[in-house]
Amino acid sequence: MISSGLTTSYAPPFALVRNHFIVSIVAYFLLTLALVIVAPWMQGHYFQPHLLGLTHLATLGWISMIMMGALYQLVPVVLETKLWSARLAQFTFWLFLPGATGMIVHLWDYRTGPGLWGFGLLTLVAFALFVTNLLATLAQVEKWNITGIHILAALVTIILAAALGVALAYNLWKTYLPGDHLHYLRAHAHLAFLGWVLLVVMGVAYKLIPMFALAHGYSMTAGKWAFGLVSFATVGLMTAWSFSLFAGHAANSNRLEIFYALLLATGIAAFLWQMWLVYRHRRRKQADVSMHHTVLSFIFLGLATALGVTQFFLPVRWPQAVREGCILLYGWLAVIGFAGFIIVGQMYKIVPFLVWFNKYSDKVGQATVPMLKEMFDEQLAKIELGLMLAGFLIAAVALPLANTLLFRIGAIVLMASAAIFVWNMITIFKT
Amino acid sequence: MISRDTKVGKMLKEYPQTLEVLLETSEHFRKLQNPILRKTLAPRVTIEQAAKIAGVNLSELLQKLNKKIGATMPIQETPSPASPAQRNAERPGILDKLQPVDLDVRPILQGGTDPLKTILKTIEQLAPNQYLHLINSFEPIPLYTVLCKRGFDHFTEYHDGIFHVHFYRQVHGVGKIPPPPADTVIPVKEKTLELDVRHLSPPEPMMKILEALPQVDEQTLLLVHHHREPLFLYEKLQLRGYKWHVQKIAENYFHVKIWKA
Repeated sequence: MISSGLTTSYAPPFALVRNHFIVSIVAYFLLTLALVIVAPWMQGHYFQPHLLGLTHLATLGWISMIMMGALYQLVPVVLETKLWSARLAQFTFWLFLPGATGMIVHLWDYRTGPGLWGFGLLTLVAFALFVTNLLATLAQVEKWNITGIHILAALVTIILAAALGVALAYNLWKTYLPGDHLHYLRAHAHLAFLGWVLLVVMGVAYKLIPMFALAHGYSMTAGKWAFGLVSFATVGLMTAWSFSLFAGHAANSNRLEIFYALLLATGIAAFLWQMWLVYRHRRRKQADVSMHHTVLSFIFLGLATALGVTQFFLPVRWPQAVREGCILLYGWLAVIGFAGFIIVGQMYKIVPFLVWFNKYSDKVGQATVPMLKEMFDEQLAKIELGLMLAGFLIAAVALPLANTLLFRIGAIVLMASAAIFVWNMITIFKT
Repeated sequence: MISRDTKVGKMLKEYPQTLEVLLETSEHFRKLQNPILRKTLAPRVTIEQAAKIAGVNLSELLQKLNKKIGATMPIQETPSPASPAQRNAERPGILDKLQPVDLDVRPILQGGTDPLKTILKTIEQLAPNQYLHLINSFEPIPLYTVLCKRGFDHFTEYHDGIFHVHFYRQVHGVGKIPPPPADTVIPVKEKTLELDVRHLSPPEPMMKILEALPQVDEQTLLLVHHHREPLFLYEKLQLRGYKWHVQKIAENYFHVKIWKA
């Protein structure tokens, strides 16, 4: 293969990506603050006003915001094409921000009138524009790769998940959906998390982690299986839940559910195996703070999966509080443990890289420029990691015990960690 | 054994006696007697291209060359070079909308110098409504890839022993990046500077390469050993007035050659 001159840079404007990242970082800090506040509610059933607001602060303000910003940057670079419209992307950002904020505020106070539905609709429109922009970008791709396929699948899913969310918001205002609201909510949460968050993380991880760890010479078979199994099982779970909706909670639909859950677990195991292969083939042996976050994230993904499957088999004689705590723990492992650790870890790589590229790459060889690791205090980042892990684990233990004080201590430690993270990010942006 | 893909320069270096064969075969090859032209033209041209330029049968030429060096060659059907008439395919409509800038390189070649610099200079100075009309006694096949890399397509006509090549800017769809050319020409330099960045993670490879650029002068070729294709680097190289060529050596091993434009 021989290739040469590309006169155009593929990357979108730096300001676009930066705006998403800044909002996301702020949302992360607000989330840890909110966790301290909601500690008394972090027990019992998960369907509670503050928890709903909190979850959407995490999934929309923090996780989806950073994912959109990162995809605007990554899709053009990884798939060698140009972002279809940077202006549309900026416009989308300014729709998504008030949409998500309005939703979070309404959910926090459980104001379930037309306001929640309206802001939900605004968020859905923003997602639709985001997906349109990226699909138009993908339409120009000539050389597809595994990352592109993951992203394509994730784009289709997020629209479905967001649309289901808006349907649920309307249902809280004027009940029209047949059956149990929570039944749909479970589908909404899993569709968003498996089809959107997990697939994007998987696809991007296959590209970014080997790139920074200088890993190559391994087989991608497990990764391909992981994609097939996770996508198939996600679709399967949705159909199983749709069946059980019409058939009631019949034993058969429950068996189908367990089958797909196990299939999903196998897919996630294949993904983790693939990441293990990447890790073993890395040429850059000394692990940095970013790698430590990432490894922890994958461990928590494994634990969340295991706990998710276990939910089906929890003994009915267990106290209600413990079983409800386990569901909260399941969400905690997935959102903070898996998504949180990977986001924080990868941001220690991506943000310095983008800022460096934007500010210094033109000056290399002509003036003194900083190295990536000189752009933030690595020692401070290690403390941040230690606190994040400690806070996360303390709160995790508190959940099945339904212990408010312990959860609050964990949340405060987590907030301290987030404060250091924010400080590190400010340092990088100001370098 | 000499094959159709052997570079003329390499052949002449290893088997100087083959020059005699070339001179006997066609008067087009007489230019190779001039050491300067031999140095600039021969390394880029394969035997197959040379046969096409001179309008001689490739398999006959290969037979003669291999006989000269005492190598036996398996007899095979080799397609004869396309006849000039076949080249007069369809004239692109875009040429009618553009103004030609004529450049006859025959006097330059007669004078014993390499016309490449003049051609590139003319190409760079072309206005958006102009195209280059190149006139030569042989078909400048290696030039096609050189100019393709700079974003030019070509259309070739042949009348009365003279080649007329029309180079015009490639037209691409909105948002499309021009496809990479199939081949490109790397100049021969006196010095080669080597740089291995395979142990570095991004963006350090780019830093090291850009930091090495001041050492890359007219006589130097920078050879970078890279673990991936440095897509981010190209724009920086272009801005600083360098040309490059990337070749995949193995899985996760690329040679990036950089020189001053």
